[in-house]
Amino acid sequence: MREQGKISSFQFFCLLTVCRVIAFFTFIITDKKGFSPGDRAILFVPFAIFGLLFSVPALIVIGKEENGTLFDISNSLSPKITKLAAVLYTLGGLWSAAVSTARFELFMSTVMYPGAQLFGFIALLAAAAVLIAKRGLETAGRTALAVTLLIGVSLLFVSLTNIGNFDYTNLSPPLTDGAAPFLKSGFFAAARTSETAALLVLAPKINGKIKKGLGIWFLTLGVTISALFFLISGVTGEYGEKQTFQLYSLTVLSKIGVIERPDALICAVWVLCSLLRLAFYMYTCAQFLEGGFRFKSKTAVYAVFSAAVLALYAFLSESEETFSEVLSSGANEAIFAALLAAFPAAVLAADRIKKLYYKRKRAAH
Amino acid sequence: MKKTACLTLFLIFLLSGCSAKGAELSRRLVIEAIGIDKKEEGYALTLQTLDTHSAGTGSDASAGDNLVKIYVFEGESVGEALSGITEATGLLPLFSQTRIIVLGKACAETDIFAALDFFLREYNIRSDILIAAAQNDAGEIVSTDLGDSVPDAVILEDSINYGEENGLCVSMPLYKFINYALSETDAAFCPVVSLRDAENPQKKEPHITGTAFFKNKSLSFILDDKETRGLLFLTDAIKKASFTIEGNEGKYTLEAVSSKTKIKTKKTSNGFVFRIDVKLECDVSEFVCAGFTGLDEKRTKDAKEAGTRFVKELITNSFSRLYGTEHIDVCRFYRRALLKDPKSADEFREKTFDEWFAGAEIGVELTIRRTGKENG
Repeated sequence: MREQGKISSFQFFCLLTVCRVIAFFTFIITDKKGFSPGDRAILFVPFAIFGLLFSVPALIVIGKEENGTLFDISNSLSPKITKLAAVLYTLGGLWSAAVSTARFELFMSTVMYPGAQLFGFIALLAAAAVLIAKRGLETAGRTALAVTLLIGVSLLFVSLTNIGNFDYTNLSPPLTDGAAPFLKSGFFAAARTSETAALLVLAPKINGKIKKGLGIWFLTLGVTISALFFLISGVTGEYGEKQTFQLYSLTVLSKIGVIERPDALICAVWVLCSLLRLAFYMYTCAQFLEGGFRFKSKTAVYAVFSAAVLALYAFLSESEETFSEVLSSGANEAIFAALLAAFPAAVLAADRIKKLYYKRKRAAH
Repeated sequence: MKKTACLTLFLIFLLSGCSAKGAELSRRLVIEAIGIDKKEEGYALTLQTLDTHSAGTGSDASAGDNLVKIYVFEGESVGEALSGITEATGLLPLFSQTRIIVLGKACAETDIFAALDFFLREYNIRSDILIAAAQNDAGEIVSTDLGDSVPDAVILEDSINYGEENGLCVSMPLYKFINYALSETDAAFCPVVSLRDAENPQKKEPHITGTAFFKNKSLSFILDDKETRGLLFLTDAIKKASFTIEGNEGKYTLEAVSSKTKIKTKKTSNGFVFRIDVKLECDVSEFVCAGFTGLDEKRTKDAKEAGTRFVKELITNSFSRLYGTEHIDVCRFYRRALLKDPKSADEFREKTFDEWFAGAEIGVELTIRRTGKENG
């Protein structure tokens, strides 16, 4: 029987799927090197490998005590480190939420409401996300399960209706630009998967096998996204390469019988995904702060999060130039990689050194 | 709970419905077809739009005369020309219903990228709308009254789609057209549309006269009806087709019910070799000789042989024109070579089209599926 306030590992990975999928839908390819149509078909291999490598520190943290958190370890080192971690992860989470919101707004103002000023809509989205986040992980988990099902059905529909348009001559051989840019693409794709950092603080709220689930999740997600990119390239060819939102251009081509505009319905699912992602990030940030500063998050905290996300989003979406400069700088991935792997690894190493030091000290006595 | 209820009510009453900016259908200019003609300075765009006022009323719709409205806008660029819509009509353009873009001859001969760039960027335009080239002016095609009860753009779109389904013409959606145009070794192509007199002297009807090929941004040449059929076989675009052939025993009309073209790429010590295999299943829908006669084994074989000869000749003629004369890699040999063996592909690319042409074999396998109820 499931404990109160906990979700199953399946629901948790559904939440991660929703977060990652909307990032993929609104993904803009800034550097095509190492991301040729042929590379995309096998990109899941480096993506899954790097993704799991990044997650190793988090998995060690979870394994230290049964489903423990990063703060359980950092507290034993110094409360200051715990507080620093709480602040860093909260800022990283808010930044990531703002980047994905800016991406989503760019998609909305380009595809759904061209030319519209959508700050009001995004503000409403943030307000709704606060409501979901306040309701806790169980609500988000249940919603994610339903949304994942919707995503699965919509992606299956898009894929099946486009198989007839697939032309393998639109593809290119893998590793056209060499292995290094290809591995770099896989590395960056994994580094962008910042959602897995939530494991560092949410593990105690998850029932079931997290480690096994994470492996399956990385592989399934990688294969699905690779297959979709492969399909996009095979169907749209050079045209797709010119499109800002490649998956949307494939969605537009999906039609069957009297259903000629399923893209409008699919976009509605994407709005839901974006809302859930924002809520999940806010909830996780609140958990980081709660873990670091030992308090219970109230509405005011979420309101501050919401305002911070809106301010960052407003800065990012000021112009496409600013947005692409930030995205293509690599700083984004560096921040995520540091938070996902470097910081937890450093805490684990310090803990190990400390324990060894005390062990030796005891032995000397 | 109360807060949630209040928020829900707030959202229902204040954030639903259309904005005052003009999302109502009557405030939108529903664009059905766009004709692009090149003028000395800039472009003239002829828009066939749905008359939303008369389309909603039964009497007018059946009369048909007011179903569409034609507008012409001019500008230095396509985007500039289209930006005049709201000013001139007081309506907001709705591109999502656009069915076809027709490129005028002068426009096709100048720079198709300049003419189509707007449509590549504008997200409201569906990427699967059809592209066609006009034999003369696109404005004439788009503005001519073609039918009674449906918008003229629907007739134009249907006639191309029907033509493609029956192996008479190519149908080219925008995304494929752009895909071919952007690729270094391919060439974009689309059907050529003209108008001819209909039974009703007041009316005209669309007529597809061949396939226009674009090379280096502009119209290069046009394939005729017969060559277009060969092209359809080469590009595996034949779904159904009907052709009448002369055999030793009489005249047969064959209905192709299925067709599949496969191109096999083989790497040999001399380079790449391509084999184009066409598998065709046909029904004999008519056999004319002296009197009513069924198809016995001998005649079926004769039909099969004559059909095979005919199709092979169609394909060979088109292949010879496209590869031998025009140097168009319509079968995407280079891309196939690249996928087969990327290292040798560049070497292959440096060869001339004559060598590509020489390195290809064409095979046709025709099967007679049904011969009708008359069994002889």
